[in-house]
Amino acid sequence: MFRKTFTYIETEDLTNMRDTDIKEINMIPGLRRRSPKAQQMMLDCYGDYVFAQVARLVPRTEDAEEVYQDVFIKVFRNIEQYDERRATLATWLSRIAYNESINFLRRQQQAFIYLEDHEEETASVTEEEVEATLGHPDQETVQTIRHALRHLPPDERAIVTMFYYDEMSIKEIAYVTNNIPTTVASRLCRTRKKLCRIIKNIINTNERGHDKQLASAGQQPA
Amino acid sequence: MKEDMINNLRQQDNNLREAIRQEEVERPRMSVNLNERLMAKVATEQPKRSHAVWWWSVAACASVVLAVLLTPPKTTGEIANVEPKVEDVSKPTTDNMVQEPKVTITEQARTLPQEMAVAPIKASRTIHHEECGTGSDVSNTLVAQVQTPTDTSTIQDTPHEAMPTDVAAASAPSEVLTESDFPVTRPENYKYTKEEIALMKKQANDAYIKWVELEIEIAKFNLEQMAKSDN
Repeated sequence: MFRKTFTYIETEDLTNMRDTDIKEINMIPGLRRRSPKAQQMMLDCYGDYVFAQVARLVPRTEDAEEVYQDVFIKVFRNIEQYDERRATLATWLSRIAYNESINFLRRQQQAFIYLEDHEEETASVTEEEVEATLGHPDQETVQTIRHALRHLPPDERAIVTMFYYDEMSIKEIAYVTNNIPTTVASRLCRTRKKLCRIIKNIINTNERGHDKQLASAGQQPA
Repeated sequence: MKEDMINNLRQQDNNLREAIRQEEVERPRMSVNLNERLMAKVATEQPKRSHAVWWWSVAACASVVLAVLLTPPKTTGEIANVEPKVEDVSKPTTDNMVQEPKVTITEQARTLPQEMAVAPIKASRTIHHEECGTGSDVSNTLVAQVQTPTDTSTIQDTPHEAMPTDVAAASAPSEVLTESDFPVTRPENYKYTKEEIALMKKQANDAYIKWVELEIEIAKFNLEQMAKSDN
């Protein structure tokens, strides 16, 4: 949806600007004047997108709505700080949404139980295994991956989603998460391996459960 | 190079992309009136003025610091230097005379006798010197007197009838120079004299005794009231 707007303005061909870009250019002066019309226009354009960004990190809908409101109040207040040369408006909004969501989670001090990130175990997963698990189209594996995604910490899940779903570049993700691109790239690779390991664990657990069921039913496991 | 490799992953990991897409599609949507609530909240919110207040407070602090730094010290050095002079009444007068330029004293004595009333100490001294001197060599006499502080008796013994009327009115009552003859602006005159300190102590003691007596009376009255109420 926002694929084009995520590209940096410096590299854009101004003659090929879409409606979204033109709206953005018209909207920013209005936002700087605190015009309610421009604010409403921004909510119409980017509301769903920002809510999706927040909801990725904040699981409860009520909390996500609260964070969503905080994000836009912050955006309206600090619109003067927005620099068009550094990032597009959507990327800037993503950055604020990401930071607000992470701050909210820290404030809540929610005790998440996630798979611990042991470097040795993650390193033991080979690239071929990862490719085989994540690459070949397989509906059953897709469901297992969805299940595995829920075991990832919110920030890692957000990075993966920004990369694969929002199709942001590594630089843009680095801007959003306030990291350097190299860190983002290495985190992405590590998260892929981690996902693969979680999937393996899920499959093993399912198999053991299946064997137990068979044993209790008096059948031989396959 | 590495970025290209990572961008290839996006095309390569079909299962992961599909899983994320399904997750995003199934994610709950925001409520319909959320934007309306948000706009109402934004409308009711007062414009934030902390920025302006912050600048004003910084400016105020900076001006206070500047004022403190730029104000010259008033009394610290002068009091330390002047303190021993207060003990002797006659000596500071001669010292002050040494500090004053001789030429101006003699010129004032010759030319502007009516302006001398403005600075009584200077005037009286110059007149004494005029009379003590033999007429022509006034400045020499003055220098001699300044160099010998014991000659203050000559200043005191001089007759007053030769003085101009305004100058005589200023200096006639005090034959010996005292602290009251000093200009009020001199820092050494800010200090209390021993007599004043003693008086203040006495007044404080009296006030304390009166207060104690009053407290005793109040206590007595209370006791009486209590005794009456018990009866």
